[in-house]
Amino acid sequence: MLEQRQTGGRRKRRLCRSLAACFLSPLLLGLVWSKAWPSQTLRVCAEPDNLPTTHRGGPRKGLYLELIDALGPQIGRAAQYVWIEGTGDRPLRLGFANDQCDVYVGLPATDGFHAPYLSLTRPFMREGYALVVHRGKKVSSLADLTGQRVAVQFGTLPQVLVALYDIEARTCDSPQEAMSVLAKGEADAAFIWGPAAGYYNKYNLRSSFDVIPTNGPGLNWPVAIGVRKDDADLRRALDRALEKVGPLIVHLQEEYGFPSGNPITIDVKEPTKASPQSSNAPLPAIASHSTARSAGLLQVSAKGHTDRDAGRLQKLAQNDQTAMDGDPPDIDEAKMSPQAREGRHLFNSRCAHCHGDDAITGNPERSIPDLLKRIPPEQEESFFVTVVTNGEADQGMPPWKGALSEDQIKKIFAFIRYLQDHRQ
Amino acid sequence: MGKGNNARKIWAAALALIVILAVGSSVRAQNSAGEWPIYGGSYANDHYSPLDQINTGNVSRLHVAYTVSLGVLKDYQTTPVMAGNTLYVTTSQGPQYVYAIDAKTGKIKWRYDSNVPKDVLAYNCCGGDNRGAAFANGRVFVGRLDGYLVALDAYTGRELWKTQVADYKAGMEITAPPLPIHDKVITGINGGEFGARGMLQAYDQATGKLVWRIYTIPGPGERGNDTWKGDSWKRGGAVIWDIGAYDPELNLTYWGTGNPAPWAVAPRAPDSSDFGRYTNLYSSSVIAVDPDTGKMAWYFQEVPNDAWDYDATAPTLANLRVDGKTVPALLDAGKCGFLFVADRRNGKLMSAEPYVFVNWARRWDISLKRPVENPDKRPTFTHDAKYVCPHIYGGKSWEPMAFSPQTGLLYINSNNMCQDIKEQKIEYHRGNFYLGTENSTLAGPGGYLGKLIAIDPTTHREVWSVKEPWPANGGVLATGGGLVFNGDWEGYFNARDARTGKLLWQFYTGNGIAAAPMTYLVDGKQYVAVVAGKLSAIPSYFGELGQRMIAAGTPEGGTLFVFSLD
Repeated sequence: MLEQRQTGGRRKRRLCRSLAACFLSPLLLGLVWSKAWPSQTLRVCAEPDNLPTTHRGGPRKGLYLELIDALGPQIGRAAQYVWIEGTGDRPLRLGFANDQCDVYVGLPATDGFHAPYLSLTRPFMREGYALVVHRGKKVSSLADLTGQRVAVQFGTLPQVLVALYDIEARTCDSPQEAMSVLAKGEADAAFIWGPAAGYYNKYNLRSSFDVIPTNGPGLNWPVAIGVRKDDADLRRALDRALEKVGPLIVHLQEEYGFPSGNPITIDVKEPTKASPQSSNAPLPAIASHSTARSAGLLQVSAKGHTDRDAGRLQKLAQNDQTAMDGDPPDIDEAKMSPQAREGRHLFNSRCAHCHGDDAITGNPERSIPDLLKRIPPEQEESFFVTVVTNGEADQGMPPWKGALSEDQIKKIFAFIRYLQDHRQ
Repeated sequence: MGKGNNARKIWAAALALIVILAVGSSVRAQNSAGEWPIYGGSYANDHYSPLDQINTGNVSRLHVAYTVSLGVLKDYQTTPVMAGNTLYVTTSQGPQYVYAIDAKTGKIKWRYDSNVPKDVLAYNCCGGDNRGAAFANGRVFVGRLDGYLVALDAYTGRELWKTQVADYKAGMEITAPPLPIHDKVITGINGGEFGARGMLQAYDQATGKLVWRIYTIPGPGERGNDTWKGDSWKRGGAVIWDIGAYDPELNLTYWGTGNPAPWAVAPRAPDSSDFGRYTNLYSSSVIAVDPDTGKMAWYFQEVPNDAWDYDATAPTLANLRVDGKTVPALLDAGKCGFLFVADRRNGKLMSAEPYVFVNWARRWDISLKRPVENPDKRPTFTHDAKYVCPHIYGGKSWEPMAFSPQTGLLYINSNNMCQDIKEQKIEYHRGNFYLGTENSTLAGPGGYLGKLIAIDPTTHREVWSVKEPWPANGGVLATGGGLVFNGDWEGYFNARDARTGKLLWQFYTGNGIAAAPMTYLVDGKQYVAVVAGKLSAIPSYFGELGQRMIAAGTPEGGTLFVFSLD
């Protein structure tokens, strides 16, 4: 009996239009006939242009839709697609709120996914981000891509991870854009949503890249089908039907080019520092803060600061006064010599990090000298050049030898002179 | 037609008066004619009217003159504008409609149906609100959720032109009223959560043609571009989502910019309080711009390398007495909880002090031109920050504050909310992302959620305050009658003594008020107007507290209430 059905199924495969229906037919024959013929439609909300998962028209309608086509007969309902467009979870919420959808396929079955109006079926597969590299290139960690240009999609976890690894990003708006950037040689690798990468690689780029799944917190997740919270019967029916689709899903994943193989594990790195020195050094904890908070008495203005705070503020204020004695200089490039103008640009791109833009905001907590007054005009240019060239290790001033030429340092000096001469 | 001609004459006279008063060189002069032609009442964006017929002595006799049901429910942040003898009122959801209403009787003169595409809300970040229209030179200007700016004939409601500012399907939308200056009309555009690069643009009032457009994030080679890591400046947010102010004497217009994008810091700056030069200019900043050319004159940044969504908001202009001198100042109560007071000629900060409870920064140092952060309150990829104040919604968000030149006080309808912030774990679904975690919303110190505060901006002294049980209450109106009006979440519309905060009059509208009231004079008689229609989108950002707000709130609505004395 079983054998006969399989034979029948094999024969039928040539005729049927939906890959999924064919694949499932041997399993389904018995079930389909035992149930009432679909008397009710199953409204499947889906995005019209989201290959490899859903697509309106075209030769390939997407893994999710092929899956739901296969599940429909099992639960006695024929799938009817409802196309919904939009960004974020709003379209999803509106689709269910306006009673347009019975199901939505491919929602993340994780604690973080928040859709209180839905309940989810059992997960049917995992999806996640993938690394895309030139075929045959050996990669075993994200750190292996250091020094390369990596295409990522804006607003995704890989965008953050690449940044935390100090890897140069090529930020794109979609995985498709990232793949085309990669294909054009404008990036050396990509770290993007795996299904889109795999599909694009298979059908547009003749599989010239390896699409490698990744592992790590938030990098992959189980996906399930969402149904209205009060539609428990439908959810149970789908859960039962999903028990049997394992082989179909493997087949569809292959068909649509989903990433496969051993995943690369990606560790979350601690944030990197901007510089070895702190430019916004944490102040010591102020113990009385928590006391004040629990008493509900915290300051609405600075006057609520504690005594310890006050002492600190006073000290800072004094320092501030040292650093900011008088008004900032009147800066007018038209009045500057060409040397000073260039010097200004150099200063603001190299020195402003610590000394402040146009030297008007030093950081008193780090005893950064006030360049507007601490280098007396009578001091020679050569002294300035020496200090900048060799640095002042004990003061935290790095040596700029090699990074700035003597000529450039002199231009910066010309700018400092201009500032000193134009104090208001 | 006869009626139209009369109306034209009245408008012409009113306009002439406006011009005369404007030449009289005060940012406040515009509404001395008793009109309220733009959102903030005048270019100062101070939500103040010198009208004093309704005052502390007689406000108890205030009663409903008429109401108009606006035909669209919920999400009302709109403030009517008034010119000649007509009120122009936008609804929410597009705005779906713009009404011209006889300011004396409430009779509808015309209705414009915007026909914005039905799917705009599917692409929109924060609800279907619209804050109102702007009147200038016989035209009514409206920005729309579908990214279009339109000009309507003020007499007929006919659409004169329609210009696309940006594509709503890229998550960009307009909710703020435009700002007409000279022969141009200026608008920003929202979209900070979807990878936009902030823009401000000016269109010709007569034709709708783009005159200039500037980006709020410097491009390569421009100063400030190196405050962004890598290519992050291209999608760095810093959008301008609210209205600006304008000083005709200095010929500068002032705008607040939003948070940098994405929310996660690492792609755009070092992910810590030690971020060096990576301040992400000009996000979370106030910028001053020449309205004729778009050239930026100055800026100050409220939150460098913002990790909290602490947008700068719409600035208010006020002339303050400081050390015996009058200083042309700019006030901005940022979402970050600090009230910034700057000299609007050059952007130099005069003071920056908290106006609500703040703990993300220990103080804001005006000489360093930066906040002194509390690193424990900065969420990073590896650090969840607990009990961060203010909440993502801000000490104040879009709800306009009012400044009264009469009392010298600034009135802020503030929020007292804090939150635990978890780094957003983003789960991919096409170009869409689901926010992995909800921001938990907690009451700030004291347990109340909102507070109407009267602050002396020269000293930051709180002169009086009224605690409110709910956040996200309506904006404030201050008047020459010594009054302060505001509405609340439960639907009460209140008039208080501007000097003491004493409640002098109250009216229950039956619907939550989130919009700012306004006042005007027609045929020599003063009216006060407010639109009631509770917010539905905002509580959805407040977690469990939001559920309580919804439970305690009124049904959905959308009604214009206009009040007068006998």
